[in-house]
Amino acid sequence: MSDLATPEAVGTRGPTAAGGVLRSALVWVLRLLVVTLGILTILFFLLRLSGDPAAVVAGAGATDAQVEQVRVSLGLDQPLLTQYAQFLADTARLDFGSSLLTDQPALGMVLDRMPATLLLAAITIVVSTLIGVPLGVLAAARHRRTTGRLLSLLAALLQAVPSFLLGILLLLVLGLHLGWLPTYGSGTPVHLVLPVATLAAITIARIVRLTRSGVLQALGQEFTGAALARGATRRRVLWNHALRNALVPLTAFVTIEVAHLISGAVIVESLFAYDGVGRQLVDSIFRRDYPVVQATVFVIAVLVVLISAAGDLLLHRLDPRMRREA
Amino acid sequence: MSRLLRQPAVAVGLLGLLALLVLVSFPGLVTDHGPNTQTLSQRLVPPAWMDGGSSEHLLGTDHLGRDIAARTLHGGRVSLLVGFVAATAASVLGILLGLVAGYRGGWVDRVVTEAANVWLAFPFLVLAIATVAVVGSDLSVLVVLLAVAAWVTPTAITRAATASLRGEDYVHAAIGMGASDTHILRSHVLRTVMAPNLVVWTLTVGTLVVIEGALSFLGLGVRPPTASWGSMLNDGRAYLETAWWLVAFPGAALTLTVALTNLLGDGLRDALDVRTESR
Repeated sequence: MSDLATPEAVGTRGPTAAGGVLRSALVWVLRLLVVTLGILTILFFLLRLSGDPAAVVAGAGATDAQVEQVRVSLGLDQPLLTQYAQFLADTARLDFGSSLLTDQPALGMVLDRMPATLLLAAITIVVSTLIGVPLGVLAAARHRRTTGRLLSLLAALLQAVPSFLLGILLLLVLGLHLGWLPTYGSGTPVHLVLPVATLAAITIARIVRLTRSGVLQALGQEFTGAALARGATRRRVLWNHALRNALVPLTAFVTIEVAHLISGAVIVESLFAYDGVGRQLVDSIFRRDYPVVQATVFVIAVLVVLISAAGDLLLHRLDPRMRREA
Repeated sequence: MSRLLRQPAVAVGLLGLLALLVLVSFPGLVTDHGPNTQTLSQRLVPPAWMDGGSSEHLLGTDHLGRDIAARTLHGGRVSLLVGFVAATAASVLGILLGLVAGYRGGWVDRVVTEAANVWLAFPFLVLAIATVAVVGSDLSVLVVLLAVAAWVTPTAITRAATASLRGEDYVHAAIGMGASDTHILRSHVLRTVMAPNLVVWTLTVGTLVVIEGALSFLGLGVRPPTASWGSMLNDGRAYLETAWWLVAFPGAALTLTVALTNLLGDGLRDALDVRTESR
């Protein structure tokens, strides 16, 4: 849901021009390390500074001696830097410890939930693109007429509705009043409808706006006029020549959006009680189940960086300018 | 300024936001109730124009008998305050970083650009949720988090504009005449980068109001009983079937605020004729 990386900011995130794909891949491996290390370090110190994990683990009714025993068994009696080194070493072996509540390995719990979240993100992106791109082209082709204006207005309005509010509204109308759809849970395809609709609405709005401006920009340039003069049909110019111009910003946007959907699913999953990593994250936070929190944040960070890297490589292939530019 | 106001989007957006600010700053104009005053005998009273509603509570009451109008306006204080302060902090930080990176170039530029790239790959919401859950959330924590969240766009835009100005003849001329770097940045560059940054700032306010709402909605924003739009939506969820007004009014206020900032931002972009793409 967070749309901090507005399409405006996408430009900075282009591939590092010089040196081609290999170098670009290397840069992304480094970024992966920086992001995961950074986020884990922040988490580590936040968790250690915010109270006594030993007391949490030992439970509310524990005696001082019991808390002390837990402290020693968790290594919390060591100096902070020793703990940090141990934490990094464990992380490097992908050992995040076990859930404080269920005693299952934390990483396993996260990976179990991941497919549900990825499914949600994947369907949302596919649906949004299939609906958003044609509507965006339509909005550009008819930009002086009522259809085009209405579409732009609608997209602008939709963009202003926060996902958690839209989710509540859909829940109220489709789930409770009309009773067409289950309002919570996961597992069957119908359970996906409301969460996907909630996530897709805003993504569609952004894709429409982005496509519209890309196509409009192309229609104002000489190459589309030249194509028309050569006898290409208007439809062909619109869908072949003009849309291609919007493809690069669209690809950049879609990769960022996939990453956002994965981390942004937190809200929608909580709202619809959908069994993905996001809901588990929020639940673990409220239960102070730190190993699960750390494992979740780690997995999401790695995924997000990998997706950004994939998008970067894709852009390299799509836009010849990025390969030449040095 | 008058040129700007002739743009309908700018005029409507600006007036709307001003009206909102006035209402939120002086909730007494609409209601005499306090935001946290509970009247347990008057729970879930519908808005005044509905059956069972009373003129006492214009927009009805919630499950604890608190006045919805008062809570919506007081909640708006939190949302708008956090949004405005954090967006301003992000802009100031972004402009400074962007000026230095774009003007100096070299390794400073590379560090800032790379930091921005790394940040864009950062799952911010997840980190924010974890942070708030751990250190707790008061207003200052929220403001810092949101300011940090939004630093990239102003930085990127300022950097790009500064770097392209750096090559202009008049800047070379100024350097040739012995102008100091700070003088050039202040009197030539800063003026040019202000316009796109104004647009970005306006849009950022809206974005940050939404993120604050999302955090409060998850129960990770300002602490109860302090009202905020997001927490009101969260409270109202349980009464969705019977008492729609619990979510309708904070929801409408939130949407209106974001729509107004988007309108103003887009209008300013057209009126000032700036591109906010950084490439």
